[in-house]
Amino acid sequence: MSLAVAEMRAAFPAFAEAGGAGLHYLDNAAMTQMAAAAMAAVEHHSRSARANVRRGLYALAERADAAYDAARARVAAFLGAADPAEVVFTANATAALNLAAQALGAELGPGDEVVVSRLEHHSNLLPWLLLGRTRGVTVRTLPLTPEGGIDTGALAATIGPRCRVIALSHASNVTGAVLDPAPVVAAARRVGARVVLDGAQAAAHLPLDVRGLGVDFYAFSGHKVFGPTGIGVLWGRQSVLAGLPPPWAGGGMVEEVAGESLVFAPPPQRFEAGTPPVEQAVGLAAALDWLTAQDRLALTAHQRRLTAQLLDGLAARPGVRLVGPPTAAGRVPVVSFGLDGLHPHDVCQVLAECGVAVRGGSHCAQPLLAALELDGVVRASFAPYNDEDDVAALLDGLDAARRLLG
Amino acid sequence: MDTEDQLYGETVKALAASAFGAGRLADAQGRGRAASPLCGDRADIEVRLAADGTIAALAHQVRGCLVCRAAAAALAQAAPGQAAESVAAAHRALAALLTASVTPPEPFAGLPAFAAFQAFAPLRRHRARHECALVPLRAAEAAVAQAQAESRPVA
Repeated sequence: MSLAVAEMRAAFPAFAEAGGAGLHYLDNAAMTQMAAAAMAAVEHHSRSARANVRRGLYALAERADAAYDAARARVAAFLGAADPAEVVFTANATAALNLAAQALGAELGPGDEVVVSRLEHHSNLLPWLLLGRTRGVTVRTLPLTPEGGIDTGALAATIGPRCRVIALSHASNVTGAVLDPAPVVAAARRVGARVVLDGAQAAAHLPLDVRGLGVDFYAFSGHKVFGPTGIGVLWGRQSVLAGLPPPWAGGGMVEEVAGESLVFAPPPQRFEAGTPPVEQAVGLAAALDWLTAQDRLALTAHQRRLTAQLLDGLAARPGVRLVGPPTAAGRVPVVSFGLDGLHPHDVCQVLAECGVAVRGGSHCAQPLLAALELDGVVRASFAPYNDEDDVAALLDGLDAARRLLG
Repeated sequence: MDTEDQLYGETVKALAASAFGAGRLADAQGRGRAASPLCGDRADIEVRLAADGTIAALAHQVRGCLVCRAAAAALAQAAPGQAAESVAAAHRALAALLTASVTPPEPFAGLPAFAAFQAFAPLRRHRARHECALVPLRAAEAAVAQAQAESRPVA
């Protein structure tokens, strides 16, 4: 069954405001457009419940508390979490991963090991490398498969008895390859390590059940799931969160301060010092309401069809080097490629002139690009509001770039 | 013919294709590297100074886009024979051409050897690409500074 893309686009005001049919927005892996429902929720909250949370006793503040708590419950349901208290709101996925690294890192020292992979976004690499500098932790790296995924076959050789954390992308922001976390979780359990999944690219596309996945932490951001910017989520297993110290401190995260004695609040407040991103959380919840009200299987099938069309179109053109899985299966709808003799930024510039919005460069994944022996790639990424015209415009734009740039 | 808003005009494309000055420099006295954190373009510049302090030779190694390669080639064509300080002046002129709130009428008027940089004017519309053209000049400034320090007689 084909998706009613026109109806889908009507739910996203950007397509009416920013050029309508002339906009071929294929940069969804960087930021999805924001659902009208999320915009409306943010505005409604700002008009009717703008007060600080966890502080006021007046009606406005009580509405703010209720909205913020409801947002947390919405996110918990989206993730399949056991309890909303396992959901910590942050500024974005980067902040969520840094929070996980700093909190877990407080218990680590020289000789302890953290395992990442060659394809990690810098957001799930640099926080762990910083632990190497500040706490003497050793960071070990899982290699790639030939298809651009994480080689879980190398787990046994990479994970030693001092491994304390395994932090991996659920889906690559460059190759789109999807990780099966099961062997990772099994390997982690054998040595008592925690598993952190960076779900920034997966959350919009994969059905999530954090309890079923068996991981300890899961991070994602609002602006990649049709919500506002400035909001991210770190889900943490309650039994783990409860034992971790807060990396930063401030108002709202402590139960008692007496002299130098501190009694921290339980999670999630312990990790949400200061005024949290309330409107953004409300907007995120509305975006997730919108997303989960869709036929997710139909969305997946639609985007997979577009991915396959693009892969076919690229395969028919000379001088294209595709990275990642050869088919639409096994990847989120993200397609990255290089064009022989052309720099990705020049290609993206020509595409922009054609009304096609894509990204070019290393995509904050320099170790991956180095492993692929590429300076950069062009990346197209789909959302439910994309259609065949977007694929055609991209392919036509690539031909135009080849003609113009030689 | 290039037009005012044609980023990939014939001049810029020809400069990039020429790869003028690409490679290493024998007996380099100064080396400089600059990179754009935004796009990843990176330029390594080597210079050698003449006895009178002018630039005797300049070579570049660029990992970057067509614009960055073109700017490096334009620099390698322009710099030899010019005063060492002209590199910094050209850097300022190009930055003004790209970023000044009002387009300077003739930013390279006092730098005729660097007039080819006028071809980068269409970059003004593309803030995210300014660094592509500026990176080689930034690297060259560092290279010249090092060469001057190296060649300065010890007091």
